[in-house]
Formats: sequence, C-alpha cells, structure tokens
Amino acid sequence: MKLTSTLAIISYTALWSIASAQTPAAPPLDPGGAPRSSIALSPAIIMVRCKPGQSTTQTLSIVNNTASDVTFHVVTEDVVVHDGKRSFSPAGQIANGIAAGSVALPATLVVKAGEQGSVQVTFTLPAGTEQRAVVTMFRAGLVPPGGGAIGLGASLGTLITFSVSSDYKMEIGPVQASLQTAEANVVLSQALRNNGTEPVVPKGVMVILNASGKRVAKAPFAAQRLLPGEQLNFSATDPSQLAPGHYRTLSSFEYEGKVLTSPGEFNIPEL
Amino acid sequence: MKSKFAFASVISAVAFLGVADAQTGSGTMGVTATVQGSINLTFVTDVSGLAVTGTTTNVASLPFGTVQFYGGTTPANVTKTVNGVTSFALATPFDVRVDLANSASSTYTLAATLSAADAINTWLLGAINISSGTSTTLTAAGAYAMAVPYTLNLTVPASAGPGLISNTMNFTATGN
Repeated sequence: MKLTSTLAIISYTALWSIASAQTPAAPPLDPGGAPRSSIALSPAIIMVRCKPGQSTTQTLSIVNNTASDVTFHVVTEDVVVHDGKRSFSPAGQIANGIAAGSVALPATLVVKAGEQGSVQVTFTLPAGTEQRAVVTMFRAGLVPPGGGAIGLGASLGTLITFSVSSDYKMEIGPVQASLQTAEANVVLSQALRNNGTEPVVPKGVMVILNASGKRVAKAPFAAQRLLPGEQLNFSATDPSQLAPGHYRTLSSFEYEGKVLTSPGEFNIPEL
Repeated sequence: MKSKFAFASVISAVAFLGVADAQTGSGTMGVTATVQGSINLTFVTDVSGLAVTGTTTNVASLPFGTVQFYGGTTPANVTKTVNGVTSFALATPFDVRVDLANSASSTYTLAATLSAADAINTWLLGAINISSGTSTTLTAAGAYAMAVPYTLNLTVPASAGPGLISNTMNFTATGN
C-alpha cells in the first residue's frame, strides 16, 4: 500500500514539475518580501539612418510595474557633446537641434498599475544640423507623498541616434595598464575619440604578446557607443595573471565596416 | 498487493507516457517575432537601509515618519546625526537598479532631480547636492544589472520651523 502511494506521489510530482516549469516567473521581491517597484521602457536605443530633412516616427512603450497609476510626461532633449563628454540639453536651447522639432502624441499619458502605455514620437532631422542624437524621456509626474515619506520617482529615456553619411573617423590613444596584483589581473585601456560626424559603436579585441613575440593572451573590449566628438575609455581585462616582464599589444577595433588597429606596450613589474 | 502495485505502476507509466506523448509529434509552424530592446529601472531596499515601499502617488517612497532634533525615535536603518545646535541629518541608503535587454549599450546615465527646490533643507545623494531642483548626473557610466546604493542625506537646520518635509526625488535612466 505504501508503495502504491509512493508511486502515485511520484506520478503527480512529475506532472506538477512539468506544469510548473511552464508558469511565468513571479515578479522580483525585495529582501523584505515586498514586490519591487519598477518601470520599463521599450525600445531602449533606436538607431535611425536617414537623410537631412527626413522625418521618422517611432513608437515607444512604457510599462508600469508599480502598485499605483503613474502619469508620464514625454519630453525630448538634444544630446550634446562638449569636451568629449555627453550631456542633455532641453529642446530649443541649441541651434539647429532635433528636439525642438520633435512631436510626441500623446505628450502626457497615465499608465495604470501593471499596464503598458505607448506614445508615437516624430523626429525631423533639420537640414544642415550637426546634431546626431536625442533622448526621449518618460518623466514620472511627481506628487509629494506626505506622511513624512520621501517620494522616489522613476523616469526612463530612449536614446535615438541618427546617421546621415559615411563620415566615420576614429582616433585612438595609447595603451594604459593598471597595476596587476594577486587579486586583480591587469586591465588595459585605450581612449577612443569619434572624430567623424556620425555615431559609431566600435567593438574590439586586444592581443598581448610577450617579449619574444608569442601571443600570451587575448581580451575583448566591451562595445560602447561614441557620438561625434565623444571620447571614452575602452577597457579589456587580461583573463590571466601575467609574469613580470615587458609586453606588447595590438588592439583592433571594428566599426561600420572599418578596422582601426593600434600597437602598444606595457610592463608588469615584480611584486 | 501485487495487483495494487501493478495498477499503480500502470498509472505512473500512463502519466509519464501522456506527458512524453504531448511533447512529440510532427508538423511545422512558422514563427515570426521581433525582439525589441528595453530598459528597466527598479528601486530596491538596501540591506542597510530604510524599506522602500510602494505608494499611491509615486513609484516608491522612503517612509521616514516623524523625527525630531532632540530625542524621539529614528526609524530602523536610518542614521541621525546631530551637528551641534545648528542642524541634524538623517541618512539612509537605498538601491537603484537598471537593467537592459536586447540592446547595444554597455552603460547607462542616471540623473536625479528634486521635484521642488528646497532652500531650507539640504538634500545630498552621496556627495551630490540635489537641493536646487535641477537635474544632476549621478553617473554617466552606470553598470547594468547591479543594485547600486545611493545614500540620501537630508540635513534639517534647527532654525527651520516644524512641519512636513514632503518632496520627491526623480531618477532618470538612459542607455548610453
């Protein structure tokens, strides 16, 4: 009898485990057990290829995974680059900006708890503009919570980049090496600057050669987006510990069908 | 006993067979799907911080409750620091997590804005003062899929009148 029950339990368990494998995952919980409050926006990045004067309409969708309805105001700002760094500029504050001509429909929307809302945004690239990116933000309407509580509002933005030509140019800096320790492998980095007029997303790899020219390691660089004029450090972590000595490197970056290579060298000192 | 065992075995075999049968068969089905990238922002209670709670007016809130310069009680995981006789400060960490899927972006920019400028109290996120109500960049190269702690440090001068401090910090994340 006992065996009968055991077999029956096994049967049910088998069926239950298969059935439960097809149920959706529960929403993430806080360590205290409460559901987390979050919002999500799609798409996160849009890359548009167009001609000056052309318009494009994009649909952006926001999901409200909180316990309450949230009002979102849709705002588009220009992404500007000064001294190699990116910042946002409200619509109309720069000459020939893209944000000033953008139209969002609707410009304000209320998204109920657990639901999704969508907005259509039309962008027109002004003729002759040097701007190549905007960010369209869903700004949560904020109401002071009262009761001695501090409110936390969440907003998300979609980055939209525009490419209008094939003027892709990049400049690469010298190799910089971090100090290798027993706990941390050497991190090699190089500054890349976009000297062209179009956005690029270079991805690359670095090969490390020892003093006798033998390849001892290969490490990838994480891809990063560079707007025109922007400069970022691209880093690659050597997967292994290197013996003290002199090393040479060869970096290779691929972007928009072009390849940029750069030699370098560094030392691993005795500890 | 033997027959019961045989019956149970048959039942088990049928159960498994049914499941196995359900996963076999033949035929073709065209599948068309467009994967669209997305970005997600979540407030998370820090292990050393005040519980981030839901709210009827905002995405989340930090319930400090009623606090006072001299004595009183301070909520769990909130640090109160009295600066002589001039002011007191309340501090608690909370985490902001940004996730990204199906998009070519390795980092994000996170900015914070106090919804209403505060000329009396001082609002710091870490070392960054957001009291002015203007958008301030917290990081231009945030790492995805990590709950990053930010410590809110609210300094209340002793000269300020009693009453409700009610404001909202708005966080905006954008993929780079």
